[in-house]
Amino acid sequence: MRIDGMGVVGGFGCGISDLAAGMEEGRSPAEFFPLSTVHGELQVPMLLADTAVLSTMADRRTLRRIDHHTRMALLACLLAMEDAGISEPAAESLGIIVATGYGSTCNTFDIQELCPAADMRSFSPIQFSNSVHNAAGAHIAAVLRSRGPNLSINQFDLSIPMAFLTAAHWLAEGRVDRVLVGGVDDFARIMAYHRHCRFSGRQVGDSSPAAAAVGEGSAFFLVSDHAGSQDGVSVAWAESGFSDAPKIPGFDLCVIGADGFSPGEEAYGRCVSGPAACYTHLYGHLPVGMAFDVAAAVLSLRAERVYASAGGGVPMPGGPELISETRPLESGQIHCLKIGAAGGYGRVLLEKR
Amino acid sequence: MDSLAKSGNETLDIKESLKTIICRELYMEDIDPAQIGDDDLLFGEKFGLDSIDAVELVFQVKAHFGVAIRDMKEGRKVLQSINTLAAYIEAHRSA
Repeated sequence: MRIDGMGVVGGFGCGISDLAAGMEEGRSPAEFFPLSTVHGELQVPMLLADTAVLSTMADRRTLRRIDHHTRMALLACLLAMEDAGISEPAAESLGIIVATGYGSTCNTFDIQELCPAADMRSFSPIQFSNSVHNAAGAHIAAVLRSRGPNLSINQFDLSIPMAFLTAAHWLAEGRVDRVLVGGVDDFARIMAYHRHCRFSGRQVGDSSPAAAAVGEGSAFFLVSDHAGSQDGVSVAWAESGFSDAPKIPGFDLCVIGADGFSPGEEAYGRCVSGPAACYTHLYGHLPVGMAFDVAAAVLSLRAERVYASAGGGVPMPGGPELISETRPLESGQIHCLKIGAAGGYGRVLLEKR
Repeated sequence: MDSLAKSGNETLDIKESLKTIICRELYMEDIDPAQIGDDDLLFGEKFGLDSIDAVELVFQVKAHFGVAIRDMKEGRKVLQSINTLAAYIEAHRSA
């Protein structure tokens, strides 16, 4: 399954050039923002996505009822198509797979907070429609006029490998010629508060994986069947499971999704014996963070170089040794590995042909 | 005379509120409330509102003015313009 194009938006900026610049720079772009809590207003580091550029890429009237969650996903999709050099994919033969761990949390939490209260005046039909789980996929399909299969996948932080696996099945079955597959997650206030309680002693700019700020964003990939193609980056394997994670061959680079939130992250150290890289300081903690690891791996394969890890390679307790300096890529394969918060693992293997 | 003037001001307030509601709650960010004429067709080409907007507008009228538009046939007439909406709200608010 070949990756024809990819689009990203997150706390690091918008587009693959911003992600590449962030990987070059190696510093966390997190900023402090106020967070209202029962204990008053707290200043919490966040990695928030700006989707303002979307209004220059799509009709404003079309966008008017689309909330922030869907805007991030739509923007990433349009950027992926732009990267692939495709303006209008064939309506019937484009599949859409949206992976999300939280769904449209801001919207959903706002609605849930209203439910037990007497004040139902703000329970707007438009707001409710955006809280429906497949809202992002439906809006993307409407904007792209896609009539192909459309699916939302939710397996928390292991949603991304399952999404890639599903895309590969669709392509193999000949159901579609192309799939827009990726992930999106909103900023989660609850996780930001959790993060504050757990890491409040740390500073912004501390880019060790154990201190990832809570983030939001979206990364999408336009993929097609690679049969016959001679070049490009492809997804060679995708899997998730609830047994022990597989051992990654020592000669291959592994991009790990360690962000300090999941118990058992020392498992990365047990299954990665070779070089490892971690870029969670750029996009933060969010369930579909693995989509950004895949994007980072694609950038590395395209440029044939490995970018230095968070904070120039701050070692994690019990974790693998992280690459501290940008250097040429020695292998044509990169593994992306995520150890799940509830156990299990997800792995995506990328290779350059 | 005073009650007539009061009634006129109330209608004006309702119209201004409706225009603000349409721009803000229906996310018509590219339209200023002043651009909406009292007799403009709300569900015509000019503003591009659709059936989802109609549902939202019915909800917003209930939320802001306490006036319910329950009947579909009646709703078609009521939602035609700012003037028809304001007249309906005024007639049913005190009823």
